[in-house]
Amino acid sequence: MFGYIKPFRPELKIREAEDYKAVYCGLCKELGRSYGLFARMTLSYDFAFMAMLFMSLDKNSCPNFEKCSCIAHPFKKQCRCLENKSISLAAKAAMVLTYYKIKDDLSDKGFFNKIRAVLLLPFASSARKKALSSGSEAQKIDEAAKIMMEEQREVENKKSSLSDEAAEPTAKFLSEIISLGGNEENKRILERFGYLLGRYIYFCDALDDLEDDIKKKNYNPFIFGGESAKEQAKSALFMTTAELADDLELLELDKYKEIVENTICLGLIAEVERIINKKGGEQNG
Amino acid sequence: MLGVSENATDEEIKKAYRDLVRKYHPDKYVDNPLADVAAEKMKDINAAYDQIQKDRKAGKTSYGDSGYGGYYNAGGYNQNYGGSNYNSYGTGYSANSQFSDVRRLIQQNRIAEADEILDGVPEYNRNAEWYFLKGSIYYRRGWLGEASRCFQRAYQMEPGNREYAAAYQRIAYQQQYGSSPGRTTQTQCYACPCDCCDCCTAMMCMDCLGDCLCGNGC
Repeated sequence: MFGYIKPFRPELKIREAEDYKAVYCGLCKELGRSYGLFARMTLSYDFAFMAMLFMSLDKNSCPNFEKCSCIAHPFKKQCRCLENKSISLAAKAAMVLTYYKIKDDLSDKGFFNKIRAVLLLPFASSARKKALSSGSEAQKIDEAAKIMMEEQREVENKKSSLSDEAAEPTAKFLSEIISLGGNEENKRILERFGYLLGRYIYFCDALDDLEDDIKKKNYNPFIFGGESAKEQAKSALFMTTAELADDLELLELDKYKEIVENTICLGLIAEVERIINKKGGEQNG
Repeated sequence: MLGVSENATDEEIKKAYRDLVRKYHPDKYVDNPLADVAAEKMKDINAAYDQIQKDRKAGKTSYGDSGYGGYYNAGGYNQNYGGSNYNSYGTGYSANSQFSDVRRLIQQNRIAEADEILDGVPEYNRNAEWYFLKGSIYYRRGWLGEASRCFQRAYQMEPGNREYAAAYQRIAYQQQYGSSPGRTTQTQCYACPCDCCDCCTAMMCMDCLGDCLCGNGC
């Protein structure tokens, strides 16, 4: 995953921003503690959001915090959230997914990517094994990731011109992971929420890579849009964010409600604008 | 349930109630596979509001008559979205619908079966309603792009139909603003390009002004 899901900071209260950072740090520390230094480098906003959402859905838990320093900020004591069920689930998902991404790089990306993948694969592989040994949740995620990778390859080989179809593997995968954070009551809501979130991530990534993919003649679901490709991507993303926001209202969130709402209702749109403007700026310059 | 304290004023309660009604309004979740969840919430909210009104009436008659329950049924929402159509969705419509069986299956969330029937309809028999229902199915599956295409087609084939128009307009709004119509959160303010335009216009005016002044001065 690529770090597209993050809060819109200007609208966060200071205490919310602190909470967010503490969860982010907590996830980083958990990755390091359970899976080693390599794992900490895979830290991304997406999984921090996932941990936050899981904590928000879990009414019975009460997160604990501590002050600590970390290698990234050796001289400043940071507040961080101590390990809990939600954070460790997000960490497991991150490890499983990293492994499959690296394996995928091995098979079809350029030369340097391949070298990097060869070097990283042993770490990723042992991290995944460790995650898998921890219980059935990780195994479910692993199964879903395997299916996603296969389906993704099929879609790309087929060069599907339907963006909905191209997004389906990622969407289904996220649907599977996100629904792990719920219970019988909210399972259906979370499944749709996860599905839409997966769509969002996939489309953001496709939009981000659009110009590269055109140049290199790679597959991209928006490439068939020609001149209006970017507009199409924006519409697809905006429909998805709107639906996500509607869906979110049906979920009963506990703590961190405001941060989750901020991320979905504002952060996602801001991120789309950022990607579009970044590319536009490059073109004009 | 309404998120108000015991000693909230009638006005506060009314406002909280109205906000919640807007949040879970059935118009927002038409065709959504989670429409039943929203409806359930709506029921709870109405019950809670009724209860508060009853309690207050019993306690203090002077509070009285704030017309509870009236908002949801008679409020401005229906007119805004053409919502009265939706209320009869699947029941009233089936009378003059060619695809009443498909509508019923969709209502029951039996999407695969509904889709199968629709796919069995030969190309030359596919009317506006066919496209609308096909769009509904895509929408429920999360295939929003195809859903939008189908709703647009249905709307173009039969522009006078309020049901198709509402579905198409809703999704067109989403595509433009990144949020659904009728949302009251900041999203709308942020996503709405108006502010940005105003800002640009203001800058342009300033520029002109600057040019003029500079021109004059030099």
